[in-house]
Amino acid sequence: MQLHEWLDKEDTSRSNSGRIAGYPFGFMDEGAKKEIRRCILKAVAIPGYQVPYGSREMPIARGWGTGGLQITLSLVKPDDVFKVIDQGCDGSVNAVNIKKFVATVADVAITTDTRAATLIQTRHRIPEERMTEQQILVLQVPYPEALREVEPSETETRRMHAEADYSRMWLYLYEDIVKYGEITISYRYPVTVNGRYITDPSPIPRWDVPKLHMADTLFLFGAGREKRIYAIPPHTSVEPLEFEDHKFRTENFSGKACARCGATDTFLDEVIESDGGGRSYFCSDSGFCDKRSPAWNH
Amino acid sequence: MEPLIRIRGLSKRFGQGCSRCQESTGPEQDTNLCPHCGSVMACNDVSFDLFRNEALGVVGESGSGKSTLVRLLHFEWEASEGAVEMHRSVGPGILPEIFVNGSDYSTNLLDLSHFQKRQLRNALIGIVYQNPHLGLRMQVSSGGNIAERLLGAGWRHIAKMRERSAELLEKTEIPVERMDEPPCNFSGGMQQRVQIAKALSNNPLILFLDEVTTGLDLSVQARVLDLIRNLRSEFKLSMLVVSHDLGVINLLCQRTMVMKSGRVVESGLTDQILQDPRHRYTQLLVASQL
Repeated sequence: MQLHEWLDKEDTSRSNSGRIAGYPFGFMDEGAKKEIRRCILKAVAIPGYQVPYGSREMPIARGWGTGGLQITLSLVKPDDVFKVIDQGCDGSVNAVNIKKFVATVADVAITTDTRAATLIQTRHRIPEERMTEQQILVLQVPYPEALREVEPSETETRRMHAEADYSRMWLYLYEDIVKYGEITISYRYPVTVNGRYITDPSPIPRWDVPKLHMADTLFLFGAGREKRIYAIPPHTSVEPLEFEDHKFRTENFSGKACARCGATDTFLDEVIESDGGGRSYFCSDSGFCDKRSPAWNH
Repeated sequence: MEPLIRIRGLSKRFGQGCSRCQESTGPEQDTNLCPHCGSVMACNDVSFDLFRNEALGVVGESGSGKSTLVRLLHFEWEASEGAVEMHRSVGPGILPEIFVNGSDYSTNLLDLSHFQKRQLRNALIGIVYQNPHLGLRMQVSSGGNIAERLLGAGWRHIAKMRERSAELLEKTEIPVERMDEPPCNFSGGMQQRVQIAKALSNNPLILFLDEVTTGLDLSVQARVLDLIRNLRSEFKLSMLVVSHDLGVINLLCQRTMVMKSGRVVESGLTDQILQDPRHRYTQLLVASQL
């Protein structure tokens, strides 16, 4: 049964505002929201530091965006305009489900337009359009610990963060360069936030990493399964790890353009056509692509 | 000349401890285990000075507290008691806050935070363990092992780090073309030399050598010892050489301390100790060696 079918059936139980009766605004109880907001404040005060919190049960499974969802629900207000992106796309199953859920429990307006939104929850992408200081971007995080690749023990990675003992992370990059001639990390590229903590920017492509640096927007990161919240506040330096003679670089799409809107300045997805196996490229950010190709709008 | 580091009353106790630990352990009692509370006094009231460009030997049988001493000074273990102070000239610019009111000696280094201790260690201290597995990452390339210390000291230029690694490997007689091989491919003697190269990479002032030649065959031992002697004069290192082998101590060190059951029983010039041992235990040690 679809959510809206169930809601229609249970129509009698809905309050006047359109929300489900028996649940507080925003689904979570006020105590939970308060705890999460406090953790967010701490995270903002110590940019890049992972704040542990008590991750709640959500009506979706852990690992499907519950960390992001809990941040969203603890921040959302009735006058917010909400947008959800899943790997750049507004229309994927996960994005649509989260959107419907939040609209149901918090009674907010939904949009696909980055500019119009006040609160955006995202997985694996940062929108192409530069966001403003009036907006908040909530990122879903599967693995909050950037050092996990080099150190399996949580006790040890916490000690490494405390002592700023990052030589092993750098050694990992050194070995990569010695073996392959360049750093082979394609997404989850480790960054230094505010000159202190090495932080996992969530699985965004390299393309999006520079957008975190000195941004106008507050970025909040929620890992529901791993029970961590961290933040990159506005106007904070975010430097990808790089060497003086091996600089960080983003993906290169030169010579390629979006087959839909013709964009040459966006992050492109490669699509292999089922008939003939030809390759074409489309904007990963579907909301932005829609805006620029009115012919496709309906 | 003023000592580079002053060590005073350094102790390490494993266990609760009781009021009778001091009187019940030590060389006279021939044990470091307190019979009353079961604590082990691994290292008890050790005091000495280490001077610039000096090699100080520490000899003693297994369990006498030699390696414990090194681990305390390398900040790997927390000392139970004692003070370690370093002279201002050791690391100009490193942690200026520990020299209170312009004094010549720092505050007790053992009281510093883990973060500060790490900074000191990265900047000033090198260590070579008996077992290369402790000092090296066996799966990471030899060049990478050396680079790790450089990265810890803030180096961020791959080509410069590789240049430095190559230079050090050459000094320690490892073929530079094997730089990108992991140490697990190397023989024991080569691993030990990679470890020495790693320890020297950040130009330390102080080098701890913990039984470096134990387990190597005689010809390799001789080459490693030669290497250490040359490096000491080249880099003006202060070394603390821990060994149970009086031959090694005789070859490397001007001064020597003899440890037994956690305490220092005798110290002085190496020649003097070897030729005219005063303490009964030292006499036994020298007699059994020669």
